[in-house]
Amino acid sequence: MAELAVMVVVLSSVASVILTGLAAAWAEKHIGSAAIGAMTEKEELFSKGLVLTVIPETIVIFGLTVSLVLLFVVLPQLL
Amino acid sequence: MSSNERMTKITLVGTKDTMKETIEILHLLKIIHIVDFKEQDETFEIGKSLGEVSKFSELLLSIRAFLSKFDIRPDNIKTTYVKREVSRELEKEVFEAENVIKSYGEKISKINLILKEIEKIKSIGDLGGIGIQKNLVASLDDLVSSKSELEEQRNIFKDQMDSTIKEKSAYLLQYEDFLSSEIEKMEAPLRFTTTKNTFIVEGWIPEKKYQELESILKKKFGDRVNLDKIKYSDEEPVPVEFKHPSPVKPFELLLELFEYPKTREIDPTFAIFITFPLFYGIMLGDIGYGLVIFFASLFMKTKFKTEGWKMILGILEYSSIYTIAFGFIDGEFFGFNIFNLLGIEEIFGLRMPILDRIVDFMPIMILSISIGVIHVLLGLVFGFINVYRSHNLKEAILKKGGWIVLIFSIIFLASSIYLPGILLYLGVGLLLASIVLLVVGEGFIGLIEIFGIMSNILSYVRLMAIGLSSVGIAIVINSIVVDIIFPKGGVFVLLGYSVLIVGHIGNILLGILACFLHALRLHYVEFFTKFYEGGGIKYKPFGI
Repeated sequence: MAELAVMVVVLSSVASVILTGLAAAWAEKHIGSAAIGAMTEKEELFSKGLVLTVIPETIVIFGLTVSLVLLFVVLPQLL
Repeated sequence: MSSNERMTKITLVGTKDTMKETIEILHLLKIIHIVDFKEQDETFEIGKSLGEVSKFSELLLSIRAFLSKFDIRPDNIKTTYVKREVSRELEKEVFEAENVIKSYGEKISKINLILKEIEKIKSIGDLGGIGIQKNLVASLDDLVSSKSELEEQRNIFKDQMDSTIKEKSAYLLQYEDFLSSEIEKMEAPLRFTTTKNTFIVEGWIPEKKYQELESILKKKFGDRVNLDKIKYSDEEPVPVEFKHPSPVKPFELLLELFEYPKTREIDPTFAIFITFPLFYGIMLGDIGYGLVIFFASLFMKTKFKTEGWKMILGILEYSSIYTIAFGFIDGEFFGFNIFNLLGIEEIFGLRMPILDRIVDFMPIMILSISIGVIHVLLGLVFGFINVYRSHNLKEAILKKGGWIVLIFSIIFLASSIYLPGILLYLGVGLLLASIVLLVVGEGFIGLIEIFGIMSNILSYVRLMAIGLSSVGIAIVINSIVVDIIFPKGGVFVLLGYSVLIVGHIGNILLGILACFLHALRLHYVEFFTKFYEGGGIKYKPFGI
């Protein structure tokens, strides 16, 4: 039983990084291409586009945090 | 906090015969931010430019082409020149200089052409026996052999030209400056409103300059020019001129990228000056990286002298100082645990490093969230003051007070984990109070927004996460080199050093970009949304 729980926790921590990473990449792809499109019209939008592009990175930061908490806080309690 | 210059909107009405002199005065004073006149009708129309702008423009164009061809720029020359003053002698000097430099340029290009021909003749090879007269062949040979002489002559011309440029560039720049300011003056009426006999200038001036301008105009024109303050609505964009001490100055850039503040709202530049480098330092936190960025930005300051670069490099400089400071706390030097390597275990009874970012990520995460709570609270307090200034206390309590109480209830609830009892009840009480305030202030929609503010606060976890990823990359680079490449010995030691250098340069570049953008994002998305309205414009006085 405990082994199953350990496995679930480890797999969850893996999934949280992979999935949030993919999600952030997907979102950034769209924002990035839109920002480049806007920049061809108006050069000054570069800085705003750059800032907007990193906004979805929050997702992967949360994913990383969740995975760290799973590995270093939840897992030791199971072992 | 609102240390910025107070602006007042004015109109200046005068008879048309005084227009030229008025422009002259306004141009000299450099205080009025002219609002361009746009809506024409039958009585009011845009003014016509004074004199022959096209002649001046042509001159300006030719001199600018000349300046850019020989790469003469204000920061390239040592001598100073008087701005906006011109005399007959100067004009003569400029044309002479132009001619001399041009003639040198022509001579040089002629010599270059001949040299090219010589190369061609050389490549033909032996000229004898193809039916050319003997003396012609001999003179061609003479020409080929005079190559070095020609080159020498060319170098002499080049030196002479360079010295002339050096000598005269101040005049040229002064003339360019004069022409462009002259054109600006001539075209000023295009921004005015004119009727048949009068002209009207609308614009903004600093409030304390009003008296000065009025007395100058009075003295000069008497009743023919009239200056008045006029009312303006809240929606109108007011030009903003910052009056920050020089250490804070670079951080104006971050507002410029976003939007200029309105005059009445709190100017957050000073708050950014404190928090931006702090966030950056927490995220990057490495002694080595901090030192590299510090010296790199100092070096680049001598190379890039435009206003924008100066500001970016100034921000990086302050941020790198924080980076070094947090590097000591984290005990990191290019990803190596420096206190371990030096064998220092404690200083003044403190365990070293104080916070190891790999091991102690939980405390750092809690620290990050606490910083987030404080930062968001600061934003809300700013918002409270803004609403109080523009409306009244009741409105401020309803709009922002509820959120502030909510933040305090979060603080109490969070600390009740460590100290249960009274704090818990206080927290729950404040939470209920804030919910009531939110519902009254913003309706039931406000309750949904609670999750928004929670995610705002949790967003500060990035202070830990970005740092962790940066130090992670550094450690990976170090362990690849130290554990895998170095033990093989021989040539691999060289390879190892190159991997170290390239890897850390890459990580520094990544660190500069990522930490900068994320620190910026925390301000724009988490901090500014709590209070900042924006909508001001930059103060650009006529004549500068």
